Amino acid sequence: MEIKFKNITKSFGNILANKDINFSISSGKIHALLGENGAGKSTLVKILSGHYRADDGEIIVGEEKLELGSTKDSIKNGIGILAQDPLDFSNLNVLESFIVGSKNTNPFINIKGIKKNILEQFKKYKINVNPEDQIRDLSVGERQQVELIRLLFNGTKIIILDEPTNGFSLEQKQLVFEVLKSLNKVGFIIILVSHKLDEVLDLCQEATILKRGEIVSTVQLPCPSDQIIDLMFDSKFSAKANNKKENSKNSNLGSILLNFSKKPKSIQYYDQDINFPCGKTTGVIGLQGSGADQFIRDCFSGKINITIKNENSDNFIPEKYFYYTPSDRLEKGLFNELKIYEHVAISRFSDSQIIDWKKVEKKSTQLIDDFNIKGEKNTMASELSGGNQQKLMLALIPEEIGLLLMEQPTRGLDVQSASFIWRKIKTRSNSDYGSIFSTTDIEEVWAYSDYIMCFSGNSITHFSDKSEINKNEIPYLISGVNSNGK
Amino acid sequence: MTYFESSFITIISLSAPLVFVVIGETITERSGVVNLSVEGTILITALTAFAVAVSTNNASLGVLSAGLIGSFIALIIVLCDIKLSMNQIAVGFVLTILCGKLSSFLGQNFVRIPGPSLPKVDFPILKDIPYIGPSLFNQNILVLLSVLLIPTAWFFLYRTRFGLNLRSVGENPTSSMSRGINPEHMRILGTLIGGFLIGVGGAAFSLHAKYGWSEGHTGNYGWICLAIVIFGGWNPIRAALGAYAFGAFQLIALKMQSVTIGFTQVLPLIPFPLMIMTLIFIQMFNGEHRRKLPVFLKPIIGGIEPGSLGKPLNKEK
Amino acid sequence: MENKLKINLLNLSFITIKLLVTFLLISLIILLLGGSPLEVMESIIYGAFGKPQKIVKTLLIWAPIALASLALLITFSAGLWNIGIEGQIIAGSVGATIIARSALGESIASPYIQIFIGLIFGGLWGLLCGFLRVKFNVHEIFGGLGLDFVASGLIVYLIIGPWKRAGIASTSGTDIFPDASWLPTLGKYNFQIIPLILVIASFIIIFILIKYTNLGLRLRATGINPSSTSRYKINSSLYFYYAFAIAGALAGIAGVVQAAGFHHKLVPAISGGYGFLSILIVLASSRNPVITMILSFFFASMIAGGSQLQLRLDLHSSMISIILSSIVLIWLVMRSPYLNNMFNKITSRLNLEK
Repeated sequence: MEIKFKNITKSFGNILANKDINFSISSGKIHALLGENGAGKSTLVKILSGHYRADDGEIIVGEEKLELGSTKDSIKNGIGILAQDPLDFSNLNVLESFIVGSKNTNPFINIKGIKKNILEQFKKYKINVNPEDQIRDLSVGERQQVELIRLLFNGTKIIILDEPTNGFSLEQKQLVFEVLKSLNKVGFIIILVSHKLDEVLDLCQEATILKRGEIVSTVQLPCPSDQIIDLMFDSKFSAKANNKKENSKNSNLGSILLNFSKKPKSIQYYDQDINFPCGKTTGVIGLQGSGADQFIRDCFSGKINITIKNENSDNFIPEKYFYYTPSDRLEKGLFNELKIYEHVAISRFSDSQIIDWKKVEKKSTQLIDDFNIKGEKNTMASELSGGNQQKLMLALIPEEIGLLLMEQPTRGLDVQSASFIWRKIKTRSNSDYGSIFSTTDIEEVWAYSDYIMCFSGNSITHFSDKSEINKNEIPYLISGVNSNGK
Repeated sequence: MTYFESSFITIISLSAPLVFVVIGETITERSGVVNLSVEGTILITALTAFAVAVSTNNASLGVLSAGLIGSFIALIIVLCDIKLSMNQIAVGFVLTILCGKLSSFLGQNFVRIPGPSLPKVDFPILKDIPYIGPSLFNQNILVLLSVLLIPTAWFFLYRTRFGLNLRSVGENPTSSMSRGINPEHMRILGTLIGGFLIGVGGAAFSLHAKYGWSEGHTGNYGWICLAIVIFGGWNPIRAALGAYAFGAFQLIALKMQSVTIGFTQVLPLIPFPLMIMTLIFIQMFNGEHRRKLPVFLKPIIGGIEPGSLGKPLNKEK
Repeated sequence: MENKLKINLLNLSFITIKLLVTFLLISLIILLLGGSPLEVMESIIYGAFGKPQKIVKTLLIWAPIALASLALLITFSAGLWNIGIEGQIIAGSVGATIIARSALGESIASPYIQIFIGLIFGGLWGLLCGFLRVKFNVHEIFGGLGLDFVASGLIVYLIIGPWKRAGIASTSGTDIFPDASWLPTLGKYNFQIIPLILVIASFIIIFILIKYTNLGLRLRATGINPSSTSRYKINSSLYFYYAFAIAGALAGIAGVVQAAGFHHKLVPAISGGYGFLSILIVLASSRNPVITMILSFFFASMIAGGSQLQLRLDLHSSMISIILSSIVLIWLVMRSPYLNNMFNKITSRLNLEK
């Protein structure tokens, strides 16, 4: 059986997610879709599953032309998807969540019979879950396993896995991979969307690489990983980074100490403290979902203990000097109906009760100018583009010395805006305690950090001064492969 | 007949309207919609039932029309939610006032006049069973139906595919859509069914529990029912138990009136705040705090709010 | 600037269309209910403004409604549904009655003390609602309703119990307040200036609060997006308490006006349903303070003018509430996100045709 993609194109507003995709996937070889964040892999499979409707093009499954944009039709054609967040129902029990939408035409639920059926299936695939458990009591890995069985139970013949293994334990992953391999042998089509090279090399025989919405090439596996990495990652031209040597002006502020004894969510298996001088920029690089963002959040929330060590004593930085910018700009960092000048009032003019709007407006105009924000002082935050929202968040940071904690500061921004933002960050970082930022972009982390921390699968795989690491080691450190290729 | 037995019968009988309403609203909320207009809907459906019954001299027709009006009002809310993306609570609140006042206006000619009664059931042997017999098998048909509704609603929600699909939309419309279910259809159906039952509840007031019509006839019962739905943890059996508990409170208050001196007007009011305050403490055990409950209490109180309750449906694609 | 003028004219025409549609639909409703729209309008206008004493009464009805509406502006801006406002009004009126029945009730300062105490009682009752929300996570709709019931029960108890009229325990109310506790009147039509002063002062305070203070801005931020508040070190629970306290205080003052100015005694229906009515007003005014005041005056006129409907046109007085709630419903539908988008699309399409 074969799935043919013909001229599939899809945009979201101004962003072209998939551009003229043409290729086929057949049974017999487990297929991978590889690419950087934003390459378009997730969009493509969601078009296949019916969650999105393509703007143009068609998909042929076997002999049938797929009705695009209809989950019902995709299900009818045997397509099932295992997404990053399990598409189940946390307040139902396993049995109920299992049978929602199944093809059984019996209007009544025969609990005994279904339970027996499910237990058989679970046993067959060695899943250790009780049908009467509540879904919300299961771990993410167990939920994904149940979802997989459910897909099989409903006659799915084409299984898409959209980065599903983030919550899996090693055992669970092995189990699922065994199941998938055996399914593939009996004619199932298996498509794995992932950025984890180690998994792809373990499971798949063929990989199609996407970059910026287009297909780069299809390769047969096994294949040397540097070849793949070359195809996946871009060497974009490094924006003219303002990389002047930082004055050691503020290393006499001491050094920053990170302590993980409170077991933050972002890090498994790391106990040692981390130490680096003040006034430096630490770049935390990892692919989406690897823990890099959560690390920044844990720093802000206090889950990670941050203290300043100097000759005299250990000091806690007062909470109000932690300056945090989230990656969900509108949902967690701004107020969508409030205007720019109102944001300025909240962040910069909170000392007095009565607001002097004239001063606020003057400051807003100055900040808009300073930070090159494309908007006016009474533009609402929701009306700004992503880049300008980021600039706004930066502009709102008070001028006093603090610790900058930034989640993906240039996410989704074009090169110009990104380099502008970095100029602004660097201008103030000389006088701050320091800044820690997360990113998924290797060029960025290389250009702007003094210290580099690598994340993969909720673990710190590396931390050091930039001088102690080679740039081409980084893709391996974040993909869960080491530089020898396995 | 003992004192307890006659009280039992009274409670079952007089709580019948509440049972219809709380089960109806439970079903609606399980699909993710809050029908805040219950208070107004009960008023206008009570009037409808009585008015139609009097005009056609047929009480059953009254019940049917009340149910249809209940569905209609609920339909307004769900359409405003799914087609116009309006706030369910705002629409529900305005409808409460509108329907309530409409009932005052339209009901003028029906105040304190007599009308036909509901058909009565009279099962020869069953009616002699102590407690249950006289409550169910020697009363008007709505009381029997209200009790039969409880296991039916439970079965519908938990043992039929349709009920399961309804609940899945209430929990997570996105996942439901992935499974090929249409969340809009489910919400509409859940609301129509729930609205119909609320209407029947209104009819059960004016044609049975508090016969006739007067301005503000069913005052405040709607609000109480909304609270009881939460008290019942969105489970029809527990909600019905809550309705009976409230009925029991009312009966106690009524009896105390004749016993204590004075304050005859205050006592009937006490069940309302009492119920709501109980709710407040019960509601602490809704959601994740449910784990803290001792095991024997778990089947009785506490529940989990449907995940998409009150939230508008997102349109993907 | 031609473009801006065009947009303004377009918006104006949209509003006119909306008003016209509302007017037609309301007339239709009146017709269906057996009345004549013109007669009804005439009766209301006469009932509200026909004679000087009627105008005085209209203003007196306007005061508590305006105060309650201003209260709700605060809670709504923090994203809260303060259904408990009815109870807060009652709390204020109870506070007033306590003063009126005490020795202080005979002093010249009584009205002012009543206002002060009513404000506090209302504020505390509001804080209770906030407490249930913050500490026990009880949604303010149910906490508010519960406290409304408690307040109603309490007031009935007081009226037929400890505060009953000598020899009679009746729900028609307590004894009439002593003269000194009445809100002072001027002139032959018994015009009361204090309620108006309270309204104007409250409007100014609330207006300044919302538009010119950090408190107002942070309340709004909390209401818009509670998830973003932690980034700005805003403690959302604290702001909920502020909102409930301020709203409760204003509602309490409304209760004092009802007790000392309108009824001159405590009656079970002291709030007159004005709390719920004000919710309708604020829903319709999209939280604009000036529109809120205008709308509350409109509502007050309708209520004042509508009291004669039964007498003159044989139409039940509930028709007024039917009209008012229908207006709000129609207006809400017209401002729904879906229809709003349609209006916006029309605007931009007409712009493109330049």
